[in-house]
Order: sequence, then structure tokens, then C-alpha cells
Amino acid sequence: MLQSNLAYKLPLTEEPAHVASKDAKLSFVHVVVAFFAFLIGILGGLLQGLARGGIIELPAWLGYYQILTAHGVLLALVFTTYLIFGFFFAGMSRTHGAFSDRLRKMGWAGFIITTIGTLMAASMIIANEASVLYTFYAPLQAHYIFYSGLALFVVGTWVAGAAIMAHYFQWKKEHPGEPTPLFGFMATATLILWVVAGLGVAATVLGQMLPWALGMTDEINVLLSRTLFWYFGHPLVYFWIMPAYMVWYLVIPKVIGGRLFSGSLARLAFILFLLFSIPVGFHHQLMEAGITEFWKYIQTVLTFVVVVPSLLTAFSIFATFEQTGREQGGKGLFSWIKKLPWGDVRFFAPFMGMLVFIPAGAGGLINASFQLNAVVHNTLWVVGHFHLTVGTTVILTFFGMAFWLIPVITGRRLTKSMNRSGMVTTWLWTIGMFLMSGAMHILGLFGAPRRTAYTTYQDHPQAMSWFEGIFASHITVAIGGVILTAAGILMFYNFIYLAWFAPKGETEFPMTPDPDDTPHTPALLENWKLWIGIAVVLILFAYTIPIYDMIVNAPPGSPAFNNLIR
Amino acid sequence: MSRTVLKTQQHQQLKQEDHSSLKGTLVFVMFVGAFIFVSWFAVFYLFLIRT
Repeated sequence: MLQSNLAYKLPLTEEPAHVASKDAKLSFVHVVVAFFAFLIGILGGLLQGLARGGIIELPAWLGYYQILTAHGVLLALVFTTYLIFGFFFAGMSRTHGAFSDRLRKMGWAGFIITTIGTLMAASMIIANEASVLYTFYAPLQAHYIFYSGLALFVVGTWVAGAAIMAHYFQWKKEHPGEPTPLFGFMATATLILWVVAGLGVAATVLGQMLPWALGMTDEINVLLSRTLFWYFGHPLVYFWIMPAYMVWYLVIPKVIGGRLFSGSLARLAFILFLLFSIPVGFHHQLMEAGITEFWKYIQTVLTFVVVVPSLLTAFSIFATFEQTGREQGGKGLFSWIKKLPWGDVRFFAPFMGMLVFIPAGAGGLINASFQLNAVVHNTLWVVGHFHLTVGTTVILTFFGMAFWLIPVITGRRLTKSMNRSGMVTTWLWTIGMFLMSGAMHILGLFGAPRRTAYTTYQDHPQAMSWFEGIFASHITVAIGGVILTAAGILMFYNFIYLAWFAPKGETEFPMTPDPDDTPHTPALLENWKLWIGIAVVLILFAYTIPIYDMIVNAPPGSPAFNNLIR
Repeated sequence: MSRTVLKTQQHQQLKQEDHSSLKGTLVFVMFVGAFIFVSWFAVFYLFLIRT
């Protein structure tokens, strides 16, 4: 017999769980750092966007690439990472019980190490000693304190991640034969991915960049450093998106009054991300010399495999919407859509993120295709693309999350006026991004380059014509950027209100009831040794020969070029 | 009497099965596939005319 998909029809098997107060505090400090970094990051984005469009001129003491670095590092690395760990600590406490004192201390140690690293890197950006953009490609060279800060940042997240994973495996040990809670399963898959991917960036920062910045070596193997960066850089994208998917899979079904379509399908998707999101970094280097076509081809094929779990996710989430909407009385092909809670920011903000992921994902497939990459490589198209993926899909999902996560961990309530403010924030962000990212996509197709300050390209008629469109112009990009900044400031206000001024009260941490298929979860999906083993084999297969080749037949080393973009 | 109960049960079952319909999801995933297909070939066309 079919079971109901509606949450309120399910028998209550246990008391509603809470986030333990000490764990809530640990989660809260992460969220606070995240939102302060967010505010500085979006203001940096505004200045950079207006300067790039030739609308303002930056003062002499503030460099364009300096502000671009701050914007990228603070939003793409600091905001996302801290918010993800805040979400994980709260969610693990909610679903697996309170952390032990030992593991909580480990979590705090991770937070402190990460924050010291962040401050070191940020101080060098402020001092204009690290204007190397958030990809910190060699041969641009930053101060050694910047690289040391990056290393500490990564190590700190590993320590915090180890605390979360230990909490998960402790639960698994105490409940033999039971499927683990989906939240812990997904957080663990994400963290294993993060640790394995982080090895690449640790190798290039500690093994290449730090000795080079300290003057211990004169030259750097640029090809190898870029390869190690992208070994890390692509799974970094999944480190952002997987927690957003966790909100879609686990939180949204409860917010809409239903439950997740299938737990096994969700677990399978996360295992596929773990396996296939690392051995694919070459699709960021398709235009680079020094890597043979064969290995580029292999990694492109693997890139297309990692599309599958995203498509599984799209199906799963929409199926959850449809089944819940129909049970609530929705009829016909699409009229059940009306049953979804369109006025609830906890649903609406992530939903807009999902919608944007359709063009964002399609753009990703274009980037990853060899010939198509030749059309868009190093153009504004790419900037438009990642402003859709991380800048909208992930960010809007995190915005939606903030409206319940912050009240949960501060013991406050989401008020109606704050919900309305969240809806306005979501609309503004979506409209701003449509203008900015849309224009960037088109300009990129014309050929307008990325990573450049304002230029008229020596008034070359062809270059000038790129920016003369009604939509595809500097003005559209700038207007979009201004709207986004307004949305960002409003979101910061929302954060301040929810954290310190909202009325005290109880807020639910929304969590889907167990999906129907939970008792039938294949044990194989929880066999971590197997999946980590396969992931390692795939990485060794995709990277061993090309990296060996880059070292044995190394290109000439490069000296530092640290004054070009100051 | 028992026939009426049976009919009601059958009716309820039909109603429940209707809840599990994923026709809308089918249309949605087809739309996503078509969108990917069209955008990919649009940029591939740009590649072709520029080479």
C-alpha cells in the first residue's frame, strides 16, 4: 500500500529533536563570521563592478585587483565555508545528538585555526601584498603570510571536519545495521570530498608556493601548480553545492509539508559526487598547453558523469514537490504547483536557486566541452556562469537556510515582517543577478575577456562594439551589481535582526521525515571504505601519468610576477 | 454491504495512486534536457561559424 507523503499524516516516532545549546554556540560563531565576511565581500563587489564598467575610478590606495581578490576570497571561500560548517554543526547536533565535549572542543579548535588563517590572508589582501585573485595562480606571487594563512584555513576546516565525521561514525558504531541519518551521511560525503580535494591545494601551497614566496626557490612549475589547484578547485564547487543540495533534499520537503521522495536515491547522488567530482579538474585547463588531449578527454568524460547526480537531484526534488502538492489536493499536470508555500522565504529563496541552476548547469556543460570551451574560455561568460552557480543557486539556498538556522541556534523566531524582508531580498538578488550575469554571458560570447580592469582595448572598434548592446553593456552589469549590493545589505540586516533582535521563541529545525524507502537502504551505499577506495583509484587513474609528465618533463620554471596587477 | 466496502477501498486506492503521479516531473525533466540540448548546440554553432 502506498504511504502518505504528507508530514502531518506520519506517525510521530520520536520527540522533535533540538540543537544542543553548546553546539548551537559553535554553529553561531561560524554564521557570524560568515555574514561579516559577506558584507565586506559584497561591498568589494560593488566597487569592483563599478570600476570595471568605467563608472567610478578607484582611489590610488585601492587597487582593482586587490578589491577583486577580496571580493572572491571573502564570498567564495570565507562566507561559504563558515556557513557550511555552521550548518553542519547544528544539523549534526539535531540529527545525531549533542557532540561530546571532546569533539566539540575539536570543532572550536578547527574554528580558531580557520579564523587565524582567514585573518592572515585577509591582512595581506588589505596590505595589497596578495592581489592574486581568489584562484591565486602562479606566477602571480603573494606574500608568504597569505599562503600560510591559506594553509591554516584548510587545516582548520579539516580539524572541524574531523569532529563532524567522528560524531557521525560514533553514531554508526552505536547503531549497527541501521541506515545512518541522511544528514550525517551527506555531511560526511561532503567532508571526505573536501579533505581529499584539499590535499591538492595543500600540496601546491606548501610544496611550491610557500618555498617560492619565502625565496627558498627562485622559480615555480606553473603548469603543476595550476593542475594541483584545479584538482582542488572543481571539487570545491561541489563542496559549495552539496550542502545546498542537503537543504533541498532534507529541509525543503519538510518546509513544504511533505517528505523526501527517496533516501536511497539521495545517498546514491552523494556517493556519485564523491567519486566523480575530483578526477575532472582538467576541464578547467582545456586551453592549456602541457596536458595531452587524451587526458583532457578522459577527464571531460568523467566531468559528464558527474552531471548525473545533479540530474538525479533535479528529478528527486521535483518529484518530492509533485507528490506533496498532489496529496495536498493539487490536480492536473501542473496545478499542484499552486499548493507549494510561495510566501515562505525558507522555501522560496532556495526554489529560486533551483530555478537558476537550470541555466547554470547547462552553462557548465558548455564550459566542459572542448570546442565550446574554446568559445567561452577566459571570457566574461565564465564569470557570469559562476555567479549563477555559487553566486545564486548556492547563495539563495543559504539565504533561505539563514531564516530558520539563525533563529534555531539563537533561540529566536522568524517573524512575518522578517519573512517579507527575506522575500524582498530574494527577488532583488534574482533580478540583480539576471541583469548582471545575463549581460556577462552575452558579453562573454562576443569575446569580452575576464580578469581585466576597465579598458577600452585601445578603442578597437570590434571590442567597443561588444559593449554597445542595450542589454549586453557595462551599464547593465553595473545596474545588476548595484541591485545585488542592495539585496546583500538587506540580507546582512536580516542576519543582524535574526541573530540579536528577533523575539525569543522556539524555532523548528526543518528535517524531512524518513523517506518511505529508508528501511530498504542498501548497505552497500554506506560502505565508506569501498567508495573512498574507488575515489582514490579514479584520482590515481586520471592524474598519475599527467602529473608525472609535468614533473619529469617540466616546462621552464617561472620567476615571480608580483608587480603586474598591483 | 461488503461489495460497497470493496468499492470504497478500490476508490481510495485509485485516489492514492493518483497522488503518486509524476507526470509533471516527467515534463519538467524533459524541459531541462531540452534546455541543455538547445543551449549546448547554440554555442556549438558559434564555434562552427567562427572556425
